[in-house]
Amino acid sequence: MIELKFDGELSIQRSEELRQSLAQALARTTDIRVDLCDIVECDVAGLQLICSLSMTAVQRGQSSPVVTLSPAIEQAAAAIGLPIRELTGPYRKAPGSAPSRGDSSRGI
Amino acid sequence: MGYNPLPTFLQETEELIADIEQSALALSSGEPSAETVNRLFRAFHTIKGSGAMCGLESLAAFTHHVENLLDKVRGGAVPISDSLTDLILRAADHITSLLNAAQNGVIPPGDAGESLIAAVSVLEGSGRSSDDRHTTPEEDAGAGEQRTRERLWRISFHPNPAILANGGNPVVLLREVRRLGSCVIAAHAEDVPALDAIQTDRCYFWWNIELRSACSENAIRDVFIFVEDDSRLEIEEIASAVGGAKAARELPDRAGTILTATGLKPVTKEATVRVPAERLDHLVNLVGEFVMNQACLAQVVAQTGVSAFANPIQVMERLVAELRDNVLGIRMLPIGTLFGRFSRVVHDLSAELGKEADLVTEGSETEIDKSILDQLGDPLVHCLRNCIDHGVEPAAERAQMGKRRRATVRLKASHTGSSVVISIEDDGRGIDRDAVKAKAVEKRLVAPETSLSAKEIFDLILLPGFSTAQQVTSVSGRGVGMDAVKRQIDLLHGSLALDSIEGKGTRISITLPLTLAIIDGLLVQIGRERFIIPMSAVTENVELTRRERSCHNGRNVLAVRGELIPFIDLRQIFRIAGDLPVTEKVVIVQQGDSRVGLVVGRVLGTHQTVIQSLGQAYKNIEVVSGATIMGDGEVALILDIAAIVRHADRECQMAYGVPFADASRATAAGM
Repeated sequence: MIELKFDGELSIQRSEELRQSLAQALARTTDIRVDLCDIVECDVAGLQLICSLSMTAVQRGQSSPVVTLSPAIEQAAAAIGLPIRELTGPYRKAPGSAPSRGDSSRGI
Repeated sequence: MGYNPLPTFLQETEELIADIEQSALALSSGEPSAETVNRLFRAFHTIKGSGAMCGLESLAAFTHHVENLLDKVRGGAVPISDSLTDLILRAADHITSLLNAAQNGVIPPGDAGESLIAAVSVLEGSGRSSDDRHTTPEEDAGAGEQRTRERLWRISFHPNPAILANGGNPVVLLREVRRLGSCVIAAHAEDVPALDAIQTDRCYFWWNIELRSACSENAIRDVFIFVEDDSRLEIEEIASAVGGAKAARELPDRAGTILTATGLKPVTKEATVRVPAERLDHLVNLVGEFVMNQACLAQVVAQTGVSAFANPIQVMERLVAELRDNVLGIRMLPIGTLFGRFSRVVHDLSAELGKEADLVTEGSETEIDKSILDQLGDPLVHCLRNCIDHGVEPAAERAQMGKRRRATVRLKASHTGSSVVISIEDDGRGIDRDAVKAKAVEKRLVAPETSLSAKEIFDLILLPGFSTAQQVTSVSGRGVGMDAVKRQIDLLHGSLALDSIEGKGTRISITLPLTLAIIDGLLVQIGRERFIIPMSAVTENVELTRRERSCHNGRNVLAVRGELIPFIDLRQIFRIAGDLPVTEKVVIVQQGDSRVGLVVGRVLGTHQTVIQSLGQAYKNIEVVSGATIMGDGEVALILDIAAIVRHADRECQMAYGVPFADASRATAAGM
């Protein structure tokens, strides 16, 4: 398992750099935990990156929660009407299994 | 540092102002349509938004008032009237002056804005009770229809993927939508790609929004106004909100079908690229060099006779010609871009002079080279001024004569061969030929007893310092008018003709070449020198034997199928020494209404002529308009036909006291 932690802003300026480090980590494991609890600001590009991360991890077989979110991220998602489950994954679930909630992944 | 949006903003605003003027005049011309009001509203809205973005707060604040007013017009709360048109035009002027002030870093004049804002309030008040006059930007979204029922809107918004990279922020847009009423916003993330495929600066989210509000569709569109062109925006009214709650609950399931079934077409915009003019000019120059080089190559191959090259050279020639046409095509602009601002000129002038006149334009789509178009504005404005000042009668006088009170000034453009013809026509009083002649006699331009044809009288008007106006107005009549126009048109290698029927009207026709960059030319040789005659002027070539030269007593006139054509010996003009060949050629060219022969040694053939300017040192050489570099590297001068005829006229005036054509004919007739 690889654990990563990011803080500060999750914005379009940083998103490519974050994407690369996340992609490198994902290439080495099928079990990744990304702690975003200390993210203080998040924009649309940041939200998309979290979506993409969760979806990619789930597609590669990860069943455990991928990210933990900060209040700033949840607020940003609410501002654009994005359900939290899109951020936390599992993104495209097998039918029947309950979606994991952002709350359940907190505190890992 | 970073990108400065101000120049782009200034440029865009200039275009928007032109658009505003046209739309405002369309309003007053009796065809007020919802679309015109919308266009006006959007233009002001864009100026406000972009102005605020560029830090021009005073501009944004002022524009906001006008925008407010237009929103009320759109909602039907304020009627369309002449005073509205007038106000919009004055507002456009004020915006221009604010912009000029911003550009030059000076403090904008204060009072104009204040008085305009007051006028806006008065108009707003004319349509509404006074209690809800003053709104803030936040309150006014959709204010025009505030009093109407609540409606349920479904909005589907697929932003342009580049919206984030371009500095757009969907969060702000969604916040604006929330201000319009209560809404449910659902972001869709299914298009977000996997981590190794995602481009982090692209937007993959799209949105479905259900909005319950009394606002109009326009108010919703206004939120997306800056991103709408590149995005997909679908807005549909689902149901009246009263009793529509049930329908709203059913919505999510039907979303897909409803959206595809809506009659609203997605907003598309013609893809255009804004390129600085100098880059285009550079491209044209490069193509010019390429054309010359190709000619050079073709000549070398022809001389060395390597047959293997013949075919590729031919293909290249075709490609180069196609490239040339395409590149020149890029510089072609519809003349309508120029015509647009003339409606305003006519409107303002007729108001100033207490006359009533409408401008009707035809052939706005006619294309002409940008370099010509740029220099055409002033001469055309001058012609229009003359039409309204001298031609158009006051309304009362028109009514007496049984004419429509409102005069019509027609501005027409059309293609004929390789030229563009622009005509300015009015239905005014026409030119008083006797007055013109009297004036000419007074100014000692003609002798009192001379009998002049109609054309000769009209030509007098084109002479420097000629004006028949009894009173000099601020508009025209200072006698710098038509000759200045004619000079400018001559510079553009065009020609100008006047035609008038007394009591019925006047027509000014301007003929211009399509382009000034590359032309088809006729290559001729005199002695060892080579010259280019613009092909568009050439009508035919005939031979001139030494016997013919002398058979009219050495006078310069030639009989061609019964027509006597005066000719000009270029050998004399350019002082080319050497023996006369046994037979020479006369290239007959059309100059205005008459045909003139140019005597040359040999006609070498057609030539793709890339026009190069001769530079400052040679700018006083009147009879050539430029030069071109030949395939062998030598320079050939391009003849300016109009100037050559003028030159011959002057020489003749000095020698015989009559213009060249008359002298030639008179001597021929007298034989």
